[in-house]
Amino acid sequence: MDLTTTTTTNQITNCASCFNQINQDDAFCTSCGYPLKGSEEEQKNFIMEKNTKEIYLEEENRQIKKSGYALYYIAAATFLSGLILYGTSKNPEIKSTLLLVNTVLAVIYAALGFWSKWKPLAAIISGSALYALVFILNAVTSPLTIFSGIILKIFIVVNFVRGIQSAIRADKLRKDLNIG
Amino acid sequence: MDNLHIHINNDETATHCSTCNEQIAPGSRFCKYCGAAQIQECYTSSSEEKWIAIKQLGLFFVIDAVICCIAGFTDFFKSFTWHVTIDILLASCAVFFFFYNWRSTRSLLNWKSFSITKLLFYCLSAILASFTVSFVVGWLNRALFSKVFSYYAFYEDLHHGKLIMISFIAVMPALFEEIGYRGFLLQKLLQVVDKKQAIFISAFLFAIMHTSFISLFWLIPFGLYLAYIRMKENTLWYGVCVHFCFNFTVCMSEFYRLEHLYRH
Repeated sequence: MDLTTTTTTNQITNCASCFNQINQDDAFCTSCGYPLKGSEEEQKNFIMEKNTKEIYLEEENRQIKKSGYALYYIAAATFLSGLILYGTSKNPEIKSTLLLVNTVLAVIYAALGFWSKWKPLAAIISGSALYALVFILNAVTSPLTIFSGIILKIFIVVNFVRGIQSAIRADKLRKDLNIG
Repeated sequence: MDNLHIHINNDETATHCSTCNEQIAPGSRFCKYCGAAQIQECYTSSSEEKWIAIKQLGLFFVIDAVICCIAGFTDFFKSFTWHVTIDILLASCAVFFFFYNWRSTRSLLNWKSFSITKLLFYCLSAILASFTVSFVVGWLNRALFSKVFSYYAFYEDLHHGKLIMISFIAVMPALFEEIGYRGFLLQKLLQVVDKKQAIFISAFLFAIMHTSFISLFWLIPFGLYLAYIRMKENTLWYGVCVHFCFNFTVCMSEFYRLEHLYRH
């Protein structure tokens, strides 16, 4: 990044950090807080700090994306188990209800996964709440389901927890960077 | 991008830096004199505080979910005594979490914006919605599951069954679900996400907690409406009245239907 344009001349019109228009008399950029009249070192530090935060933000966004994908996996697994139950159940009344319930649950999970692109924290919180409720419901009605596919369940829960933590940290980073 | 925690100082009259108090242009994100960020968080909470809030929300949700699932899906707790015990447990859970966060929730018990017109409007909308939902759900239950669902069947053998049904279906949920979901849960969510997301999450959790498949379709809009009223009016009491009117109408229409059926 060409820092000299902002530090030495008086004809600055754009900030070296965010490229927004600036007033020549200002000591700091009113859009990003870049020290327009600070020393070269201060300006370098500002840019470095900003870049570091942007890298962290990217990492957090990657984890958030993973949690969004976990919602899609659950949607697919729920739909699949609905189909399997439909195929294996002998009671015709129950089997269509099971398929219907599983399909609606799968649609909800998929919709939350899709929504997580825009509002990750809200989508992951809602998704994990639904997942927890279904888990508790299954555990209460047939306790053995707690242990079926336990490794996958742990993987999903860990993914959700990490996703929520990342979304919180990403919010903080975005606030620090003042981007939205 | 999620910029919902940040409220940029766009107010035309507030043109002073929040740190150095120098005059700055309206809409400035940073002070041109000291470089301080001109942002105001609606609810200033750090990442750690947000995580603690989520853990508390999770605990409340899991306790509620375990109680609801055990009560609704096991045969052991079907007696009336257990029904009362479970309702008291759920109410205690909501009240405990509400008072545990008393500093942030106490303002919700005020009713500064009281207006009889508003109250009538909200209650009337609840009654109309309740009639619509009763009709549609009744039809869906008959069409999909070929059964007529009755709340009163559980209470009809009891002395003062109707009165008991009204207290357990209309009064208790109206008060304690509001305290739990629009009181504690929504207020806590506001420490983590912005208003719109908090309204959605609270409505979603409120809806799924009822563990009823068909109810999900009207419980989400109903939860959204209650949460919206609570956010708009900054009090729990409109929501309590709306919730009561909604559930009370369900009870009344069932009594009417039963009498109608008996007469013919």
